[in-house]
Amino acid sequence: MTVDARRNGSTFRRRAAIAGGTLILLALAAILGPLLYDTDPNVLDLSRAAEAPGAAHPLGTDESGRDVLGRLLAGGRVSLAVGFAAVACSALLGVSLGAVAGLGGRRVDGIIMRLTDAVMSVPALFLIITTLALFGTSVVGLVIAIGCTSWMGLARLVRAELLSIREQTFVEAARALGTRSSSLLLRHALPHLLPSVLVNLTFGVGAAILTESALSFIGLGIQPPAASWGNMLTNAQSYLYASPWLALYPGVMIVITVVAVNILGDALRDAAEPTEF
Amino acid sequence: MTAFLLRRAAHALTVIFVVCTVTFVLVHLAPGGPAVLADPKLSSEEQAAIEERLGLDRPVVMQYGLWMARVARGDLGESFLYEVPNRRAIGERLPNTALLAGTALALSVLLGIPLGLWSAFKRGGWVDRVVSGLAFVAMAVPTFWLAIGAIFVFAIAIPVFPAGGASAAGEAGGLIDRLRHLVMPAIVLAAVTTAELLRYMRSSAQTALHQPFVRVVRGKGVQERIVAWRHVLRTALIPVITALGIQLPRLIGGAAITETVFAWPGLGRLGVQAALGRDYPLVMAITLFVSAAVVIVNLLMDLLYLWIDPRIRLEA
Repeated sequence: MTVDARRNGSTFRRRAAIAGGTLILLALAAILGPLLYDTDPNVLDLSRAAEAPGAAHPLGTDESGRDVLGRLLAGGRVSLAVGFAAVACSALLGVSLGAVAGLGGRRVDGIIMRLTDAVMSVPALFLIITTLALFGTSVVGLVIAIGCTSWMGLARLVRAELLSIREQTFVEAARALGTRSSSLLLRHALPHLLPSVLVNLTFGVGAAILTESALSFIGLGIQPPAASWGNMLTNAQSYLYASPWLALYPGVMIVITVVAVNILGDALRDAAEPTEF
Repeated sequence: MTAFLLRRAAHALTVIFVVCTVTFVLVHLAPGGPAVLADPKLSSEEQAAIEERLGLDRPVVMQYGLWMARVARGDLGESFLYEVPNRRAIGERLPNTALLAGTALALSVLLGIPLGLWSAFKRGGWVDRVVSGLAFVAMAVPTFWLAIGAIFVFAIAIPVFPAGGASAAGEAGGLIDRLRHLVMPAIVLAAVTTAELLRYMRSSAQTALHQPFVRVVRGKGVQERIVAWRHVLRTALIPVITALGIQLPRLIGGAAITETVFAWPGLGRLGVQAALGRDYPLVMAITLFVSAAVVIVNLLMDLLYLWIDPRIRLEA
């Protein structure tokens, strides 16, 4: 290892640590924040609408007089929860479809991969808004809709890894020793898959948070009065002239979260496959 | 070459078939079933008449066949919010979306590819560091928030561009006026795609740079500029075109958001409004149309492979 590479390695580890720390802080704020900061984020007070930050309301109030800090904390809870749940949903779909395609023989593989290609070439946002319009907007519906339109990359990854693992000698050895295919998958293939799946899922969390915020912003995601970082910005545009700070906080929170998630993803990828030249 | 083109065309048809099927299944799974497609304002007799017209009393397999036949004829139903055929509603908005998405796509390609190539050649240089940093942030910024920020800075704080719309109110708008309205939405929409293309181009050009043919070309004393633009660019573009195909559906999704913020009268904004207004036939018609359009544009982009990759052109 050259001196240069070692220095890069340590700055990288530092960056990953900062990103991880930021995420832990955000998660703590989302979980504990609403308990510690005892202000109802949904109470309307039109007499104190759109106030600048002050003693009673540390970050000011929104256009309906609701406390912005309280809504940021409550919204963070929703945005992070939806992001993680949607990724769990897409992980379930992606890993199982990818595993079936990778292990199921040519016919099954062909069908699943054509389906994957098809879903990948369709604008997901339009599929999601169609689904939400037909089934109505609910948190569960939102999670499922995002999950069902984001599993494709993972399915391809799992399939490709399984196809290459199948050819390796350690699998041949295990098979020769009479290992059943189920335990072959769980004990031998899965540990090999885990790093790249984890990297993929990490980036998925960022993407899911972005999708949720966009849907909530246009009014098809989290429904008011419940707060999410996305729907806090729905009305911000109309008050941009009078109180631009309302548009600032939720956006900054989204950017910080997604940047932290993506840095972590990059760090995990470098740790999983150290093939940078 | 023929085999390649046939394979891609078959893929396009499969995608369109899958989208039609998924839409059909969604409608039948939705609470209330396909009857939601009827106008909620109708009386029960009128509704019964519509159900008969839609053939809801027939077996599902037959309904599926009828649905596919209707879509194949280009019959996309009727919007009950605007009370016009969906085809007409889509036709009116299509030019605006094509203009916005086309401009954004052109911007991303013209910025992302040269900058990515530059970053790969001058790796670790200041251009590489600045551009990579910007790209990293651009991928984490929600499109709608970038749009709001752009409006705040360039329409409110320093009013140089209009805050929304496709042309000045009342007038048909001259070319300059249309361009002034196009600048902000196009740049905002292009941001993510540019960042993605740049990252793909950078890593793909880096891989190409380390291939033996580059050493041979350099060894022959070819100028570095020509090494980059003639030899590395061409090889590195192959995976980037694949990435472009994956980015296209995302760009169109982003267009829906961008159009909504900038009140740009395009298909995406129409779709969002239709979804909010529970205008199911219109939402579905737009989804079907946009998906088909993306697939067809992707098919046309596949022709780029023929130009760029001689291995496909020369394939028997």
